[in-house]
Amino acid sequence: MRGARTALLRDTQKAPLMVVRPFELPCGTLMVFIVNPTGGVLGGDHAEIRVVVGPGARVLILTQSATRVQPSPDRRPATQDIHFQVAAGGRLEYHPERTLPFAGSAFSQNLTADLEEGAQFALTETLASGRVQTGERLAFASYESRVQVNVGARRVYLDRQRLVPGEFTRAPGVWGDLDYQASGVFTGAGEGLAPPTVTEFPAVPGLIATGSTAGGAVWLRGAAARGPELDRALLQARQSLRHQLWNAPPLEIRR
Amino acid sequence: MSLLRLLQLSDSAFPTGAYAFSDGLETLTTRGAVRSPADLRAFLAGQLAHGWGQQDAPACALAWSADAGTLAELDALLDDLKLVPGPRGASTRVGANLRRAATHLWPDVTAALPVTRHHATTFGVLACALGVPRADTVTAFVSGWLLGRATSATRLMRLGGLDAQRCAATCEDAARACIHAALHATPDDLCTFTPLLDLAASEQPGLDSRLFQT
Repeated sequence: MRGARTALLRDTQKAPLMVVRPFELPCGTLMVFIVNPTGGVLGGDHAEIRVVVGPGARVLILTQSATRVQPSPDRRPATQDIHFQVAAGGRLEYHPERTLPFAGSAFSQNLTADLEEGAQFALTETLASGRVQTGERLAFASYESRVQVNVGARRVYLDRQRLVPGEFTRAPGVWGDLDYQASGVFTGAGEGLAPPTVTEFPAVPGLIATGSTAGGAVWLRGAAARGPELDRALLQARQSLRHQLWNAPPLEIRR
Repeated sequence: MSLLRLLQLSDSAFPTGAYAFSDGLETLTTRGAVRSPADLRAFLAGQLAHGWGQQDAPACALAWSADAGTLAELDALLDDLKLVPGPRGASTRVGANLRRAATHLWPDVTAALPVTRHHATTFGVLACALGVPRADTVTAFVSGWLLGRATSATRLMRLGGLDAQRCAATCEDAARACIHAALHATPDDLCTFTPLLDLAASEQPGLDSRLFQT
């Protein structure tokens, strides 16, 4: 914090990831873009993102474009390791653009968020079955995403998704004939509110579902045939959960 | 002797209450996503390859002969990985019923068993205590799930018992692959990808009429 305003106090960056100069949204949240100006990530690439959010700070982290996972001829995955720390009274929201695994690609991501009691955190991410617009679907070698959220020493959310496309990936109950998938987590109560405060879990039948984890966080799942349809439902769910959990107004994002 | 005990433990009539749960299959049949024997076969094989078979089957294998600390960690892992409350609750209810029934039948065996909560961990640790080999334990656990779901389908679809059994039988390769992977898994390997079943299981409490609890 710089005075009463959220500020980026320190940034260290190394190619290919870049941090674009942040700017403040009307609600006071500081929006930070993490950009990869190259053509995507390659097999064997390793990226790390570390973010520390102090008490009272409000931070929104976005990526500028989809994560394009390029083919990996030797089948080594592109790996990404993300670690967030949020202090009591701080808020961090991370909503990266879609992950697009190209034919023959392999991707593995580990994301851990360590929150102090009283911190707020939200994450949503989406995955496409490939370069759908060109007709390339489920041609990647593997996709893996592990997300863990801890509050103090307590694990409140754990999601491990691994997909190696195969004969039954299009089965009912798996991905059917859809091409887009969403997942996410929200946790932390608003100031002066005791968790949990979600009275109406946002849901659109067959499209988006949310609910409570064993640890008391809110999970989110979504699936759709078209990306924009999923993104619209995701945005509505995000706004509903931000309001219910944190009494926060919708974010007015300028790109 | 151990085979007799395994057959009894994994019999569909063993009073675990597992027949009351569909874990999302009811929603999929109601919505028309599973309506034919081919759909059912794909659903079953899909869950073995991407869902239940990649989570509960390895948990069962890992629970076999595990110590109390490892079992507690496995149960905590299943608590967290089962995001949707219905299937999460069903797993612990069936686990509790299984232990209760086993305690009634084999009190000397269960008296010394470490605490477990989920179905997979309870089945694994119980079968081990009854002298059942590890591979047989996991095979019976996977078979029980496969036949249980196929039987559930006869209540949800226009499907005779013989057709349901045929669906299960045609999943033999997927079941073998699932068992093999489970026997070689570590706790880190418990991963799934079933967005449509997650949605379906979450929507099941809202169906107009329900035959199953989940």
